[in-house]
Amino acid sequence: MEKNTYQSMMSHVRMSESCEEEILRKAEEASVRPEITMKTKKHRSPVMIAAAACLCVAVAGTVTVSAVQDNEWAKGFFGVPEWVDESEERKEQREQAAAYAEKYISPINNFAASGWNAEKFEPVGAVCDGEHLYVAVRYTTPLEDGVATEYMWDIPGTFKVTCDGQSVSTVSGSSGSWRQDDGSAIIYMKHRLSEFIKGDSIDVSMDIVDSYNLGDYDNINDISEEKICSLSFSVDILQKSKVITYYTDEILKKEIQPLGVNACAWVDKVEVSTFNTVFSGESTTANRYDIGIDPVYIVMEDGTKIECIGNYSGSYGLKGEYRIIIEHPQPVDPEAVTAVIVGEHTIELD
Amino acid sequence: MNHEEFREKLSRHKDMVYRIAYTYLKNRTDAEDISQETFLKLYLREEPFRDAESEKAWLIRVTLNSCCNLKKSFWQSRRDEMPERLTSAENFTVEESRLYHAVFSLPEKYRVVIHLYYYEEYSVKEISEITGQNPSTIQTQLDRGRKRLKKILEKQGGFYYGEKHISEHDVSCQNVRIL
Repeated sequence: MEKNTYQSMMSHVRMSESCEEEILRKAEEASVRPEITMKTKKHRSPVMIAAAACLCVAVAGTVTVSAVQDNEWAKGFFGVPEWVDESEERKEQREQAAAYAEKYISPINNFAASGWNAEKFEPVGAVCDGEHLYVAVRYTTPLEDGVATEYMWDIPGTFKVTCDGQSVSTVSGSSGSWRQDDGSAIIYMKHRLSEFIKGDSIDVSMDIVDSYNLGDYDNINDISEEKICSLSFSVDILQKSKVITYYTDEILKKEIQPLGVNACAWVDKVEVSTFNTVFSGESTTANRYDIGIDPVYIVMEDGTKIECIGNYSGSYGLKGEYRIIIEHPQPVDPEAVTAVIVGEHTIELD
Repeated sequence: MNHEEFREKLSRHKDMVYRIAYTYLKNRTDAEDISQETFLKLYLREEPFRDAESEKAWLIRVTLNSCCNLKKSFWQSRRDEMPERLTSAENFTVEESRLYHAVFSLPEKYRVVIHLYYYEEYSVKEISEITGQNPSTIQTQLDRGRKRLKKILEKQGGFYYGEKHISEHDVSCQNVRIL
């Protein structure tokens, strides 16, 4: 064969610049990112990914800078108590969540509030592992004639995060408040960042909007005007956290009625971290595939099943690739997770 | 290794790794994934290489193993790949275009050996050391690959086989000219 022709033909096959940049980015990420433990399904060949040693759990800083002396407030990140009596199981889960969260809680630094009732806000605690940002601030309800006035809080999409001067967008988020016995409210905000943050700390700014006064809502003339209060603070980023990645050849199947279409999605990868489980893969259907993952359970090594209800978000690519993020109702030790149950399918992780 | 060192190695070997992965897998996306995987392994490798040739051989081995594992996955085994049209194909000469389609219609084991032999210019012995296969197996794959290529190109017509250095294992490769 004419070698020159073969060589000149193959010289057209070259790595793209974007691929090269991606490699450099991943290498840089690997140098600062937590080491990842890879495991595969049993009876399969080891998957070809760079292996790394076991992970270290991050050591938390001081718990809070507020008047709250213990970690009771941390339970609020993982579900506030129901208005009716909670089940013992749920109470125990939240106790475990608070105890586990203690390992990760960091102080809120450089806290500043401006605007209406700014002096009523104080920082409580936060945790940021580079991908997730959980923040709690306390609002001391103002009193009117000695009576605490309840307010509804809206935290709209003006939650801004920057790291080293660069803004970072959030993929998803939720917020809620938990009324305390003293009438104050702890406001919880949970956000997933759109990219992994590698710095030492992140700066956060947000606006809080007061919707209306519940004290006398029958009187429409008594609805308070919207007030704006701005908060800003910084949070240290945990330098090491756990992510365990599993590579599988699982397939999730579903019948779509009444068309009688068989839809299936390959689960190529499952990533388990403290706060969520992510699985990703491909769908063989032409359109976006609703995997219908309810219910989802995280199965722990002691047999406990933790139900994840509705706390998931997903992204889907044009070629059928998908990525679904399932938020845990409480933080878990990723190494203690043995399986994920998705609908009728059990994905063993070992 | 430090980042600067890695960047230099990436620059030096990126096209080689990519070409091998592309030759094996026949599509850009998979080839990029495998390339990323291979270089990440290189970055995280702690043991230094004996010399540049060892490093290159290691990269080829890792790339081939990764491609092989990817192909073994259930999803991959069900896919029927057509060779992807290169975006740079508009720069192909007529001969290059014919050769591209001919080579990429061969089974992967022949494609890979042909690539290592004709592009990377490894001998049969060197290819057998890199891939861990018997030299006679490599020779057989090379012979069969060339024969199939010859048939395909004959059907297409107008391709020219040139002269090549003949090693002690390469006795079947003579001056063959096809018009």
